[in-house]
Amino acid sequence: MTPRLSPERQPVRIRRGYTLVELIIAMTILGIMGTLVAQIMMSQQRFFQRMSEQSNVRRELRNTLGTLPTEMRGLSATHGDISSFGATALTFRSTIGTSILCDRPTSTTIDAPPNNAARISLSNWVTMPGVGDTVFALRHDSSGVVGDFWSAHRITGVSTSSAFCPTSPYTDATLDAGKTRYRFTVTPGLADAVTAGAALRFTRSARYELAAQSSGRWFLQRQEIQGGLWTTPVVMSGPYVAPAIGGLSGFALTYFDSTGVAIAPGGDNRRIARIDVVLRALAQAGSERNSTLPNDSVRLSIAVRNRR
Amino acid sequence: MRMVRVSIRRLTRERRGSALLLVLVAMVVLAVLGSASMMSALQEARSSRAAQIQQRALTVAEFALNQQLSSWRSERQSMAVGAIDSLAVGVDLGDTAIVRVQRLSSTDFNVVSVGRAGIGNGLMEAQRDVSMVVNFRSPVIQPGGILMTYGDVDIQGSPTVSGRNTTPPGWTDCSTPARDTFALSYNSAAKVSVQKPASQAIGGTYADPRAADPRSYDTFGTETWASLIARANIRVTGNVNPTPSGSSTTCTASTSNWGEPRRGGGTVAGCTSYFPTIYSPGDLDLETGRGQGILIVHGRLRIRGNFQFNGLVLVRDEFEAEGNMSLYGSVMSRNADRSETRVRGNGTLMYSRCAIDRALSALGSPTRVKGRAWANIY
Repeated sequence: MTPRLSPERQPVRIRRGYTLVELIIAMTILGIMGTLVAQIMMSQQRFFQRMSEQSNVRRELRNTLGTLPTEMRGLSATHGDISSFGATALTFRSTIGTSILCDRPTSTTIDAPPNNAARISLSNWVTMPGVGDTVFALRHDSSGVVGDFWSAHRITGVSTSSAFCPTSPYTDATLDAGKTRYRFTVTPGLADAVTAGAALRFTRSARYELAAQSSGRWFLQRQEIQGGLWTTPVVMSGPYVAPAIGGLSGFALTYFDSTGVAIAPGGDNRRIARIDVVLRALAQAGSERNSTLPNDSVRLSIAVRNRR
Repeated sequence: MRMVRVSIRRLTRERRGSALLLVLVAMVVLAVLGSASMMSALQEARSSRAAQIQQRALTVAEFALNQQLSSWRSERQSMAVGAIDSLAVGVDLGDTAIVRVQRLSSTDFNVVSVGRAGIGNGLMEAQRDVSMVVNFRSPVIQPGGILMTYGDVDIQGSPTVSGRNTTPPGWTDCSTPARDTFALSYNSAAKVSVQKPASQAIGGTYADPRAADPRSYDTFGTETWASLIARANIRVTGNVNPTPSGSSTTCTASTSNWGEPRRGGGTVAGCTSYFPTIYSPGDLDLETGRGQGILIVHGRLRIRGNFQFNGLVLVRDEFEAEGNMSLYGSVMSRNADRSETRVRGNGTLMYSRCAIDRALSALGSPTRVKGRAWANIY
């Protein structure tokens, strides 16, 4: 038998509801708290996104740091590798490969050893040299030239076969048997002074430039000449600060001679011994709502190795 | 009584807020964002470290490459075309480089350096390959004959004196062709006496303006008498009987070890590529023993007996040869004291460009070729 309580003794049931005032106060407090929490979370979210963006920017800078010096170090300014240079663009002869003359069946053919020779790296290329590229062959003769001389030859044909230069002191008769060799047809023909063992350098014209993309943002792009024509530019990294005359550009190049004196664009390109590169990447930093600023930059000095 | 308890319990339950839930949700969200940020930062740190190690690998590779120019191994001049010399270069903190030097031609070498750097636990390593074409340049000395003298010359007896370019006996790596020269290149103002020209002056004699110029005995292309003395690695006083010492693979440096001019069985093979520059500040008598390289005598040189030498001999005063001595290379005698160069006995004096070049190559140094010597290897 459940005991019954009189209505006077049931205060709990009467107090169960909330008054309008209580509700308004509670909703106001909840609203304020919710807004604060939402703001904090949005701010955190923004902060995280921008951290991620900064991380991406740094990755872009690192990528550029890896590729740009690799190409520029091998420049031979004194031998005309830098064809034009400006504050935000550089056109140059990029060394895309090295090898040696394994054999020269005719004066217009160069046979190169395999690129996977067993004992030592003889043929190496970033990309396979093709028609239109230039090969430089080292010679020491004195036919109008004093000292070391690299004669330039344009490649007019490329073929491969394991039958080219089958025996040579530079390759292993057993370990390198059957490996693919390369034959380059060139013009003009090689001088008699270019003999077996002559060092070879394969080059291709390339250009780095800061260029606006369809998004309106500025990216570092690279293009090269293949088959006599400039290829479609390939975006390397970015976005960077837009170029500004006399101001801070996202991709700023400064040139110096061997004594540290700056060489202005349009000056003597053969004196260039050092190239300073400044990259200013554009990204948002912090967690504030509006902060579009270059938030990371890098500066590197590239000493041109083949300046003499 | 029981109903009262139930109602209070219910009331208490209904009064529970959502703060805990809100806090939990917020904490989860913040934890997710925080851990994502941490992951991102870790990734960033890892990438930076990888870039740093790559840079270190390049530095190691370049260090080892440049070191080859300053610490060139003289044995490389004796390498056949196409042969490879390999060595490992340790730098620091486990960073290493492997250097391979391949001979491309009589003068050119391709140096490839593979630099490796890591953090020690093998989890992060980088490799960078660079190469350089170097040209080995030696001093150039062009004697006018097997004998080039400033003063009077007297050749008698049964010696063989030949200006024909001859490879020293047993030497198999003299592939570079060279021209013959005169047996005797002399000063036109000097008195020359050759008893049997057919055997004692094979190649003929030549009144050479260069032989008449005292500077020809002091200045030798890129070297001088003083600079050669400065670069001498053996200094002898008194009379010595030089004999090579070492094994089939090693050569023990000493003042009495002038290298091994012989080839084949019974020789000290480890010393065949050792071409020292020997300097005697006074008169020198040689009777037994053998050697090779550059012999500089600031006085009179007398060779007797069976002494054997291959290379270049530079004498300040007179040169005298007797007995069954043997010399492949060349002798330049200044006769500064107005003395006479004398050759007697049954000796052999043969001009050998190869022996001269080998001796001079020990004084050479590698230099990077101009223009495009350095290259990245991919």
